[in-house]
Amino acid sequence: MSVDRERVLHDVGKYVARTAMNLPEGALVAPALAELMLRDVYGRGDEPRMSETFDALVGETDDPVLGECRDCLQEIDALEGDARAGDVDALTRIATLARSISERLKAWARA
Amino acid sequence: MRAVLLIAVASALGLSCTDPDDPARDSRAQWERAQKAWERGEAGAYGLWKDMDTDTSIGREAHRRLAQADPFYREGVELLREGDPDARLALARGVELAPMDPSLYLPLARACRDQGLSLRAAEYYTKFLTAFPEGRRADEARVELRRLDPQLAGVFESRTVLPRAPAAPGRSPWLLVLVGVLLGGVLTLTGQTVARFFRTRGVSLEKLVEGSPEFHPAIAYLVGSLRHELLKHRIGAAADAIRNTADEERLAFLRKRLYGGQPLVEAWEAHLLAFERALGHRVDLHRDRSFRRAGRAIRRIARLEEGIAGGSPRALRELARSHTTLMELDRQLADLIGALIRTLVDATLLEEVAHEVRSEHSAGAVELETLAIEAPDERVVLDVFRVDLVLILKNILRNAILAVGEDPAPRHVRLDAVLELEPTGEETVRIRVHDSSSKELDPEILFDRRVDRGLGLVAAAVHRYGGTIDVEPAEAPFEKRVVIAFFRTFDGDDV
Amino acid sequence: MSASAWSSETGIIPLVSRPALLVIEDGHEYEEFAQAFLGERYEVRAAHSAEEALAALEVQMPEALLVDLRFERAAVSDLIGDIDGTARRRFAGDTHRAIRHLKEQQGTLVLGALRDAGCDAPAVFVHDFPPRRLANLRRLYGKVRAVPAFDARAIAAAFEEPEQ
Repeated sequence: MSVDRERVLHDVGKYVARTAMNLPEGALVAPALAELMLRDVYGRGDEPRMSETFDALVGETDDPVLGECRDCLQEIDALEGDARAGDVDALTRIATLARSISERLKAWARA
Repeated sequence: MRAVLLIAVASALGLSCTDPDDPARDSRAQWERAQKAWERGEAGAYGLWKDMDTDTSIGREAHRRLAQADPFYREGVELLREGDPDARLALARGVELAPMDPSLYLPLARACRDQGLSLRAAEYYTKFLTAFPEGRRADEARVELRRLDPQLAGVFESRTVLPRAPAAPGRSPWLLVLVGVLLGGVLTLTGQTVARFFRTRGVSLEKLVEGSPEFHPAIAYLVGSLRHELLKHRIGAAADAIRNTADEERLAFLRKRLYGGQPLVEAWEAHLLAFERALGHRVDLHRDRSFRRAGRAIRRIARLEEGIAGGSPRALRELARSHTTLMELDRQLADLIGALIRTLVDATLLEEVAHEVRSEHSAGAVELETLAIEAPDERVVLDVFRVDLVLILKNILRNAILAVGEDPAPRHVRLDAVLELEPTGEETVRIRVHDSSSKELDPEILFDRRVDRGLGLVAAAVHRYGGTIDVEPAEAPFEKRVVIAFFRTFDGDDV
Repeated sequence: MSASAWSSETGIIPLVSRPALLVIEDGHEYEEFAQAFLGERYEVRAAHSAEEALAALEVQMPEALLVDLRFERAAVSDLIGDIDGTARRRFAGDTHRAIRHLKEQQGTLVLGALRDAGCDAPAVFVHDFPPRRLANLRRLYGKVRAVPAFDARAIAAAFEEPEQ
């Protein structure tokens, strides 16, 4: 499967860190912003979550960068319960992972 | 020289030390011949593979690989026929395994033709005719080749449709056999010498890119595979781990990337062999300093396995140095490939098209009052292989010149390129061929893919690159113009 | 959630009179982002098509525009742009490809419609345009800026950027 770089960069790279990249690093995430960030990664209502969007665009891949992004998204999915319960560590970790995905995809698109 | 000749003749006569009762040795020799024939791209390679004795292990392996390759080739032909870009991948998978069944050359030639790959199509028609010079399908192939491009047909037909010499009557069959065998020996030796000569005079990849745009699509594919499969996935992916070797998890990742799966040296050599198979003697990667250095780096990394497994700082330093060398090759290849598909639409390109068409017999015979050429006054780049753009424009220009040739003078033709700004901020490059022919060109003709009429094949090639082709009225002294349009590529140098 | 609620939760007191920022997009992502991170500076309003954006001008002329480029979720009936003409001129008569293209570039066309309607507010796209393309958009539509990511500071700075 050939990957549509522009779509991956746009649909995942741009939106995954929409909130996370504006949060001060290391600081507590305000509840309203946390809710917004969780929408970025888990979708809203019946919208697909970011890991699903990523899988639909990338499919099977042996590209190492995309593989790392998938790992990050899986970790984000695994943190959902804690994050929704307001766990500070989970929220901070999600913000870090989201920023990391965005950065990795930018570098991937340039390569 | 005489001694060498005698050995070759003796060998050809079967007078060497081969033990006739040693089937393993025979099959090995047969296998080597079959392999060599394939590496040289010889038409008979498939037959040699097919003739391998299935009672020997080598023979079984050859037949297994032929059987494995066949579905890839068939899938590749089918995908190409549908215009699917994955065709290259399927065909490449076949090429990795075994030669192609020559009976597939004809459907492959047709698929190439339908996709506007005229040069490639002509090559496969020729190969088909070489393998099957007689019969209904050969006749069809000959007609299609002639229709494809009279010039190309001229070039290839002389080679493919050689009249057969009548058998000399009344000679002893044994004498004929002896003469044949001797001749065969001499030809084999000469062939090998010539092949070696050509192989050693191959040019560097960079030079081949500069001088042979017709190979750009193939080079782009080969370099893309090398970069993607080896330099990116195995070497490039190790970058983080090399920088952070203290981390055990990263070290394990490193070992998996570098030493898991196909051995690095084998993978590297397989890529070099793919270059040789596809480009033959035209390229000699040993002439590229970067390839030589990269080859040494690969071998060094292969030797470091134990040291890296033990976390030896010396091995890791050595690995970092080799990694840098290989990433340097990757960057150079990226620059080379990045520029390959980018074609500059300038006066040189348009003049080359006009010059080549005017050099043809029929289009060159038409007397023109004007053949005007006007290039854009700024740097304009398209993401279309130059060889394909030239082919497309030559077809359109040839059509225009032949059409005006049917009218009385004055006859005018113009080839130009203009830019249009779109409301989205994008730009469209419109390359236009104007002519003064009174003959109407129905736009329907653009979609007619029969090769003997219309511009259907040209249209297919244009569409493959996301472009369009249209006919529109033109200002006096012209009657109409054929316009091909593509989105302009913004490559960073054109603010 | 209103702009003032966002502001109080993040501990920032909203300004009494803020310039109007019109967000134009096919979903809600830009609006949510603007409310959360630009709400203290701007009165954020949203439009989801050219028609809605033009209607918003009637209510209040915005002082800044935050424009999504791709309107992939928009209904075809909400798109502006000549579908048939684009198909004929650029896509060999393929209407589907023309529609996809118009969706992918819809933001620029909506901006064009707003300029035609007299709105000359600075427009920011969250997109990494090649320099030449950005220069073209400026030739066509005046004050156009581009920021490659949802970086609130960079976007706010882009609105203030002097004309080039």
